[in-house]
Amino acid sequence: MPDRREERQEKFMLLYEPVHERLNRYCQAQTKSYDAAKDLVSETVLTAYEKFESLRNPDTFLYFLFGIARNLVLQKRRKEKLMFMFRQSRDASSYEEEAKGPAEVDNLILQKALLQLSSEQREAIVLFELSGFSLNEIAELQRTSLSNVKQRLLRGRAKLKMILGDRESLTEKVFQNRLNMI
Amino acid sequence: MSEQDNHIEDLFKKAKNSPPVMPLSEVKDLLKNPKAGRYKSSRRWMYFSLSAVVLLGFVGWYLYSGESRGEGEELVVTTPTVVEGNKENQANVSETENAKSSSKTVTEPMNENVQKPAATKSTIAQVGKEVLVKEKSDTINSSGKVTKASEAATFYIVEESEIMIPWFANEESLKMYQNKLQTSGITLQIKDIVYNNKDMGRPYISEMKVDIMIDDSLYKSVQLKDFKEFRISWATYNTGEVRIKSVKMLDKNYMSRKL
Repeated sequence: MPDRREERQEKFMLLYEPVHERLNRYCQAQTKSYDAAKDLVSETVLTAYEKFESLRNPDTFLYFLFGIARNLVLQKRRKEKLMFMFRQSRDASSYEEEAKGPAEVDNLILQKALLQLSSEQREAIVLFELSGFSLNEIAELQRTSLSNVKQRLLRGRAKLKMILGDRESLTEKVFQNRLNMI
Repeated sequence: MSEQDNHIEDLFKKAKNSPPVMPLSEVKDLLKNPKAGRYKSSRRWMYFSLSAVVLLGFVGWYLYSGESRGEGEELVVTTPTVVEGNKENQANVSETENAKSSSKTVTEPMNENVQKPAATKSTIAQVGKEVLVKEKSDTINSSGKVTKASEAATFYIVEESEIMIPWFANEESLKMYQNKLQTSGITLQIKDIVYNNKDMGRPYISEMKVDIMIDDSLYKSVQLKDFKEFRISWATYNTGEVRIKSVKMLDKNYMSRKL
């Protein structure tokens, strides 16, 4: 029995390792704090591991994994809608509390800007820019047409430009918040 | 490419190079012990359900303690027994009656030829309201006093009373309670009083032994410890007989206990 379990773990890790960072980036962009991102990664990995037996074609592992992560994000969003009143105030500052170095501050600026996009636009941009998916793959994951994906990317990017256009004031705002916390 | 586009590209590049939120080694550990991971990700729900259980417990406790304090409680008065009929029925009734009060029913029927169903009656009444009960057999109370059936043809409650002795009573007030009970024919013999001087600014009773006597015979002896209230309720009948209805104590957690 232990050998079989180890064998299954090895098989899973063989497929998982190449996409580990892409999944992390996706989860980080879809959540509002490091803790929530970590929870989302672990929940995705565990669910994928539990359902691993049902995966017929190893080539589709990427869709399988991101499909699970996407469903979990949607589930979480539905729950957040119910508990909106006390979630908003707590999560809003979570990345700010944990941002220490300049790279993390840059990351925080991007996170904040991404959170202002609609969920479809944000997901399309994260999958395309950070997780390295092709347009066709995104269309399949989002269960929509290719032209829709292109539109989401274009509009999302335009909105990002607009949000980050005033980048100096945004950076200043982030630093001011951090100073207030100290 | 505009400056803004360059900036966005730069941010994406930095985000791509940032370390993952969960290192690969942690993922490997997670697969070795999946239960621990599930626990971690569901901790918020665990806290939520735990606080819901605590809240429900508190509400339950509050409602229960309210009930034990007597809020919204109906007063249930068990009236003396109607005894009509043959010997067998009367014997059953006298057992029930013994459990509720100290009086005993003599199993001598007034008229053996009368075949009517016997019954034990319980009536909900308010304090002070007369409850008419016919009693067709002789009764003997614990001290051996016999009430002839003919005398008690109409047997009803004249008065219902209750006395409450609080934990902060002193010797003077105890005497006052004793005197009040004495007028109803109940004697309280209070012994072995232990005062506590430590917890409060003044001494209060932490322990005492109480013998409850009716007509010089012992009805009940109770030992009280860490009590908040000690209650005795009794009923006086038109025949002059006094019956104790309940002896209760409210403990330090405000829980009511029958003694």
